Amino acid sequence: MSEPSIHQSPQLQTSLLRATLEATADGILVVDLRGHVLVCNERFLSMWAIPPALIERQLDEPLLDHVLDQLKNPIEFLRGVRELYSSEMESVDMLHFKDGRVIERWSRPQRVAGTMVGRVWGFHDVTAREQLLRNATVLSDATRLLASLDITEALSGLVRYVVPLLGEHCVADLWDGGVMPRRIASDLLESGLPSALHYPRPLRAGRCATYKEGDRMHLVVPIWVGSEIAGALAFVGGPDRQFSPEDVELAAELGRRAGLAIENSRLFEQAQAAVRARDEVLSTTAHEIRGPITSIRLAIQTLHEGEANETTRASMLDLIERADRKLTRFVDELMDANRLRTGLMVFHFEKVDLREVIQDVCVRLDPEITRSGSELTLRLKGELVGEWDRLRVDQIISNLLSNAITYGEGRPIDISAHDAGSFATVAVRDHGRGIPSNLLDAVFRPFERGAVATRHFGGLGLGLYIVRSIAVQLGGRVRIESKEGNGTTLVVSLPKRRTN
Amino acid sequence: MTKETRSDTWEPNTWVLVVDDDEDILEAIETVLSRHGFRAVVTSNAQTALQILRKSPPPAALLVDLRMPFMTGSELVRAIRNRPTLSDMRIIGLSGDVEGKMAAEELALDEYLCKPVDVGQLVAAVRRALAPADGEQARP
Repeated sequence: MSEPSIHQSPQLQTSLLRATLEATADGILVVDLRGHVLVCNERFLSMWAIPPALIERQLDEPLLDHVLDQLKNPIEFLRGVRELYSSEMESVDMLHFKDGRVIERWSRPQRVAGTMVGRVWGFHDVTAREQLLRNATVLSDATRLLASLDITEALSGLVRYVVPLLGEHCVADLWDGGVMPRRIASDLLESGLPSALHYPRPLRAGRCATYKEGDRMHLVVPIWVGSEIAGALAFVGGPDRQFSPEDVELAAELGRRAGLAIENSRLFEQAQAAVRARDEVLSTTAHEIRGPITSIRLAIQTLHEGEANETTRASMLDLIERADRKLTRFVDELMDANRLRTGLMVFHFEKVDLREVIQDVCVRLDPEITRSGSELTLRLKGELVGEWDRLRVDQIISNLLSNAITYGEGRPIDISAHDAGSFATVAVRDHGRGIPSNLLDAVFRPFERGAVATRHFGGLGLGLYIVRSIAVQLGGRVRIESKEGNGTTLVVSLPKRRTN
Repeated sequence: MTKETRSDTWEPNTWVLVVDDDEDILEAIETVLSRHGFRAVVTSNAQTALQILRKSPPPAALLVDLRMPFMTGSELVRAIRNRPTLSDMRIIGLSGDVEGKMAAEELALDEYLCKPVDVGQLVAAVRRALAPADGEQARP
């Protein structure tokens, strides 16, 4: 019977032990009480980067010397080892490597006939698990910090929170319009921080990047807001810090969440601005309606009181008529602005002589021009006939002239029109205080006025919005030229032939 | 236009200066005040109001729209408050929005009228403004 003898042979026992040791994913080391290495597996050697020559010496001390440098806290590690060698306890603890790995270490005494003869150490790599746990915690905390609608406060909290988790320093740079980015830093120590002006190319293309500057690794991730890069988060590693793919992924996610926070904050600001604008419009509307109603009420009560002479009666009736026209114009403007905004304005094309329209408008607005003290000059040259909607062209000219009367401060107003080939162009110029260049765009937005600190000028601020919307829908364009203190010129060009 | 009045004799210091950028409202207020025996001088801008105040003996009251272009009613009131000669002048604020009411409170105006105002309110406010303070001689 040869089989039992094979089972009991020392070669088989050794082979069995070796195969078992190598079949596990954990590193295993067995050391006797004198510090001699009895057995270890390949996983242990690779985990601790132990060269073959060192393990051949089979001594615990040189091994300890070799591994100490790899750990974040070598002193505590060594103390733990010494304590466990002199005890019969079982143990489980965590070892944190400088390169970011986390190893769960467990140990138990080896006994022969109840007597301790050595210790078995097991090393289980839990880096991935710990990282998942860390990422979940970090992202949850970061989301809480980024919930603040004050974006400076939110990002300050974030950059302080991620140190030292993701590096020794962290900065958030925001490009919110200035030449230099606005920097929010984790600490006051600026040295060693990356300069936003020298961020690597991948970041500027919207990708994460790691690079070395001096002896430190840097990691930068973009902060996307919608489709634009609104800024970057930059992390500076410690002297031995490498950024793992997991670190990069976590940092990128923080960048994404910072972007969402900025977007939320901007949306909140926009919502607040919209509410303010609505209140402003309501207030202006109230003022604009109450004016003519006041005139009508006082006039009607005066008429009711009796004893008014013919002159007073006539002037009160005129007044009621003017106030009625004001209210009607006001409602028409609101309705037109709404029709233009929703694309529901209907145009009735016919042959229109711009010269006639301009002259009509000037006659109609003559009382206002006279009252304003402005002197009106007309210069109309060439063929000014086109295929337009007469009512709407009239509206363009009326609004331009009303505007010049309102803002012209009683100084001369010039209207000129000329034939520009396939276009007819009309320019209305006042010599009022003009509009600052940064407000030029605003004058075409509904309910906004560029000229002076708004709101006291009567009307809803829809005039130029309507002018531009009609001109654009007729295939034309509007240009504004203005200098502070030097008046404003509005130029409207309309194609003479109907466009689609 | 012929102004109707119910009084042919004017006492000194009983005239009212009215400032509003809405010419129609000015015409209506001027007519109402004249028909109720007040002497109203009207202007549609604050700068002209300041010129009038510089040249004439001070009016008994100023009725001012608080929301006007260029120089607002509030700015006019502040400019007036810097002049000791106008310290006795009563000021009635007029406006059609809530900001006007707040401005009137902030400026501690003697009276505030919210548009749309009616004849009764307007005349009563001007009468109160012209009424004598304690120890003063009665005004007509």
